[in-house]
Amino acid sequence: MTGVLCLIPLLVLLLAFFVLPFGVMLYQSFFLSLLQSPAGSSPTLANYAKAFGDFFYLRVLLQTLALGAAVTGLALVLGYPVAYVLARTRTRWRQLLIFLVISPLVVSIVIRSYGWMVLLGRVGTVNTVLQALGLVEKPLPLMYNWFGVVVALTHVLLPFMILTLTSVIEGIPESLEDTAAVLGAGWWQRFRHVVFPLSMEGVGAGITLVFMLTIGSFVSVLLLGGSDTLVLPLLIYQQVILLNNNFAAALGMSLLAISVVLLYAQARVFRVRGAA
Amino acid sequence: MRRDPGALALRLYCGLVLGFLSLPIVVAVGVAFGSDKIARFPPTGLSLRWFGVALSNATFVSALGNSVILAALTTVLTIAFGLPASLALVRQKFPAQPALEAVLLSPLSLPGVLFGVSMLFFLGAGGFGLAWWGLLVAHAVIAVPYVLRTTLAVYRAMDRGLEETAMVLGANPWQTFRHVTLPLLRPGLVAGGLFAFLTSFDNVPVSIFLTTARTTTLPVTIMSYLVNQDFDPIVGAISAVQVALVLALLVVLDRVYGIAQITSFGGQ
Repeated sequence: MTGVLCLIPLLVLLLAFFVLPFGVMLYQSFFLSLLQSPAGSSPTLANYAKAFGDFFYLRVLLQTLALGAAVTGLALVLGYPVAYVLARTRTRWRQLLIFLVISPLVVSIVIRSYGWMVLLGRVGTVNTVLQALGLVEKPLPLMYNWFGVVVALTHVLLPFMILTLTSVIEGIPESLEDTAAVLGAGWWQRFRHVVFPLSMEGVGAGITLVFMLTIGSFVSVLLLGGSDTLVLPLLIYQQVILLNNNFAAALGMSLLAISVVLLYAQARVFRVRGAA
Repeated sequence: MRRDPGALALRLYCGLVLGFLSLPIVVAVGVAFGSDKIARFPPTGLSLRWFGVALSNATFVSALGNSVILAALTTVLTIAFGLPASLALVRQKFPAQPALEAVLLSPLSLPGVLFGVSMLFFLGAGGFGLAWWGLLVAHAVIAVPYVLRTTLAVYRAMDRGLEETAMVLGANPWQTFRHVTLPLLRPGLVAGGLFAFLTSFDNVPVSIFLTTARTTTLPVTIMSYLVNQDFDPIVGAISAVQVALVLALLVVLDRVYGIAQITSFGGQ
């Protein structure tokens, strides 16, 4: 009985200040703002019709999903080999590897974005080096565009991919690889036919997690993006600034729906793993 | 690790990726030690003056104060709500327990912007405006899953027989909790508390909707600074201090708990 009582404060906290706020957002998404209809409005789907019917907003949605796909793909390609090495390293290097993967996670995203701004600016480190090497004549536009956003977001989300993959690859017995090697499989064949297929759950979980976190990302896009790199979280922010709260609410509910579906999918992936 | 032609290439690749991961942090910190007027890496000359400039900047200093107080109170709140809940979740069987735990941990996974906006609407609809307690409660909500997760993990791994022994030997439930359970849970609480602190201290997507000029936090201040004035070595100096603190915390965390366990999202 005391057990149940102990859970109640947290349940109340989350119901009052987590579930209820989303309820308010859902409610507001069904009404027009006072700017659109000063006399008040009856419930309507107009905000959703605008979000999904207007080409401009539809493009923002598609850009958000495309950004999610790009960052997820890059994180997988960059992260898989690191996850494999991390999972198979038993020596004293292991601690250092873990530290290098995890330390970016605890450094503020604002600070990491700042680092990228110094690196990618017109007179930034990368352009200076490229010009000094004579590879380019004029500075390349490396930020305030999609390139900067993808680089910064990949940096932010790569550790999540690596950690998710590592925990799954660690569970694949190394003896399977040894057997394959004895049977004459080269490193590519061992990866292609042994390790990779057995790590599919980790790949699935990593992909859903990184995709979900990318389409909800805000700070890196705001700092390293430009006028054309509009994605849903940024659009929501802009609409709130413009006091278009009700439309922002509809956009927010759409993003929430996508996130919840992905969260559910991710939970399913893990349930499969637990059962196996 | 195996020795064949692939092995060397694999290590090289990993080195490059890990370099990529450290690069912007090294740069953000390195800029602080430069003498240049604009942030440049590597700096043309060395100087510590930007630390002085940052410390005498009233906007940053007051935002830092706000952030520290907010993060400290957030940590207290998350432990006050998270600790009893994790005890309950381990001792008692609840219907649909995995689903219940997933819901309790969900503030971790949903985009912060969404929660920030919905909290803003909620406070507006309730007539509370941008009250400071709204900011505090919002931070507690996004940080409490960390405490919950670490204490749950430690409590589940703990030998529950020790509690029974204490009870058999005549300790009442409070004494058992105070002298047996709590000391054994400490690594989980320390780790969860530190992560709750960091979550609050670094947060932008929620804070940006809920702060005013008076309650603004350090990361929100830095961000608006970066949006308006591009990059300035002052931000580098603040970065250097913050990174030094956070990495020190990370080492502490590793000693008491093992960092790999808290951050591995895939780990069960």
